[in-house]
Amino acid sequence: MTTTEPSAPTLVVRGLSKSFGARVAVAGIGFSIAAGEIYGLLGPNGAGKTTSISMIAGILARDSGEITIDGIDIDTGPAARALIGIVPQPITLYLDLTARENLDFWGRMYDLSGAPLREAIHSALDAVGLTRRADDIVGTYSGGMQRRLNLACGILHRPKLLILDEPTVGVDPQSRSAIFDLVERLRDDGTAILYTTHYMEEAERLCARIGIIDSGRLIAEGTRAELVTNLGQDTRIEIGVGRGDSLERAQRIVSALEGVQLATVENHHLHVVADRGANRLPAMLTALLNTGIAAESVRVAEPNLEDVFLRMTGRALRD
Amino acid sequence: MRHAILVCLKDLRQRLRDRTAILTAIGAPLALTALMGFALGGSHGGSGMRLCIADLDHSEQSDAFAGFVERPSLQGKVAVEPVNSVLAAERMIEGHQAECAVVMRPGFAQALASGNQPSVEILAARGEDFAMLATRGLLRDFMSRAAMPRRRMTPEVVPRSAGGQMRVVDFFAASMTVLFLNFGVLSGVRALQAEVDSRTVVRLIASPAQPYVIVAGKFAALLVIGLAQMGTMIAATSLLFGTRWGNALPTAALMFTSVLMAIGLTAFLMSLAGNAEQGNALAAMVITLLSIVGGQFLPPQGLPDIFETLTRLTPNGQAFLGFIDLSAAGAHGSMLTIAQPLAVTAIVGLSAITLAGLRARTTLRRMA
Repeated sequence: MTTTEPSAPTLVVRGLSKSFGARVAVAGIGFSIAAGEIYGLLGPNGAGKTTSISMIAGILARDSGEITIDGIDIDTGPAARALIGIVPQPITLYLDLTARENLDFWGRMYDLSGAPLREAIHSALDAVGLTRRADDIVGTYSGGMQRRLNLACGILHRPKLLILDEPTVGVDPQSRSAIFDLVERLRDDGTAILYTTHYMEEAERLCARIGIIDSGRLIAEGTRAELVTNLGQDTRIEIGVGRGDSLERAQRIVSALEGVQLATVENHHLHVVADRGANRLPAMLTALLNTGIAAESVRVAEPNLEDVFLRMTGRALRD
Repeated sequence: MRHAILVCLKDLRQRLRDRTAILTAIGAPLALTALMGFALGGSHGGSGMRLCIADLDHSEQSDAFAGFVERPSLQGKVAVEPVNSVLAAERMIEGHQAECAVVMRPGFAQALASGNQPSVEILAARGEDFAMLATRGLLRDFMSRAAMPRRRMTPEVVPRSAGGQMRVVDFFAASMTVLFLNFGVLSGVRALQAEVDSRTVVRLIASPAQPYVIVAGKFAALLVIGLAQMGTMIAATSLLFGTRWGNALPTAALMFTSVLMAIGLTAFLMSLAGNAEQGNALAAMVITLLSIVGGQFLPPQGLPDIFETLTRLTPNGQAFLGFIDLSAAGAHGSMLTIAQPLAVTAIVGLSAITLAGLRARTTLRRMA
């Protein structure tokens, strides 16, 4: 992963809060994103990601807090919003217009016109690999192509801050790879990017820093290495013990052992996070054997972001 | 302003690409006007209606009916031929010398005075259904005035289906134009709801355009759609069927307020629904119901009196009657001729637009 040296923050968020009636959706979160930096905002469904993004994009009024884009308060309205590009998670395109007509409309809405607009449309189509289909009706595109055009509409006016809300949901591997490449190019060109995703590998590949949000609060923030280091000496162990009853029994047995932080069942495997796990592995296998459960496979790995997330929120990212 | 124009042009481009909507807005009302106009108009066409009157009661009241039908405002529209027997009336009809006949039996005046059902019949030639409806309307009007003297104080009702200037095809030109105006505007409002459903509206709100500018652009697009549709219908029916719509200025004013009414009505109904499909179904149902009650499928004069009252109670009925009155008034039509329809359609339209706007704001807040 290549990154440019972070400079002055493009986005600064301080004490951002929002409630809907008695329900607190966002409770005083704060973070900043520098130009040329990709910041990942991770959280389970209902954690407050979309509410936060909506406030940052100026779509939703906040209860309290400050948001500045390149030093301009979001409350200034059009001036601040002109600096933001947003790529919502749903496909927000006019399906009865062509790709060129969609881009032309959004470009003009961001005050582009004439030659600069034509150049921006050409560049955006080229960037997402849709030049040859530019004059086709968008409704005839595949899901992946629509997703790429969705992204193109958000970057057309070369925003200082790009908000990407799960931009790769439901796309084919080829389109996903194209989107990654484009996001990295935008970062290298100095765009500050706020990226939300349910895919941990995306966050690990793209994001220089990551914030974990849960129940409206930012519960952890840092680089991948910092977050993983904060887990201490924890090790992740994956044990294959067959299916059905034995898997659940194994989870109960291992959970009760000393030093085990977490034991969950995923994809027919027992996932264990334990302090100095490699040292505790023999005790785990013995305990299982004593109850008639033989391990079919064992894999010991360093903790990753998924473990961090699980440890912090008690839930898997895709819950 | 620039952003509003951009939004308006984008919406218009989308609507123009929807061929079904264009067919619904222009093709369907023209086809129905031609079909219903000529089917119900029969051979009678645009000339004055010939009406036989067989007065077997020989009373002052029955004699007055001929005078009622031959009054100056109906001159050239209804030609009366008195006959002295039912047989003579039947021969006139069979010989194509009259489209309809009214037979007032002995005891007609007495029944009228005592509030009982008078003994009276209408004979009509085969295929002259519309002439029969018109005759029925005239007779009912006469009887209600004769039975209730106080109603003589009410302004003279211009017969809307008695031939002459207002032909059957003209009636349906006005009724179908108002009916399909609602459906045409509904397709535009449905597209707005679809924009909310697909969340492209989120991107619009996130753009540098102010929210009120976006709303203005979308409203302008609906206004253009409605006015273009009505203008096209007026031009097409004038050229194809020779329909006379009356003076340009009051017609244009009523067009404008009718479009406001259609936008408000459909937008409000759409705002009550959960999504574009539900809203479309609800609005289509209400529009059809209002059109039936509003007398846009059959002239209210041909139906029980309650229907004429109901027509005046519906906003689309008001618009429709306004256009009919303007057409009947010809060169004498003015803003005063349609003061009531203008006021009702404008008030209903603006009120419904305000309500729809308030509901839309709540929806958008919830969505964000």
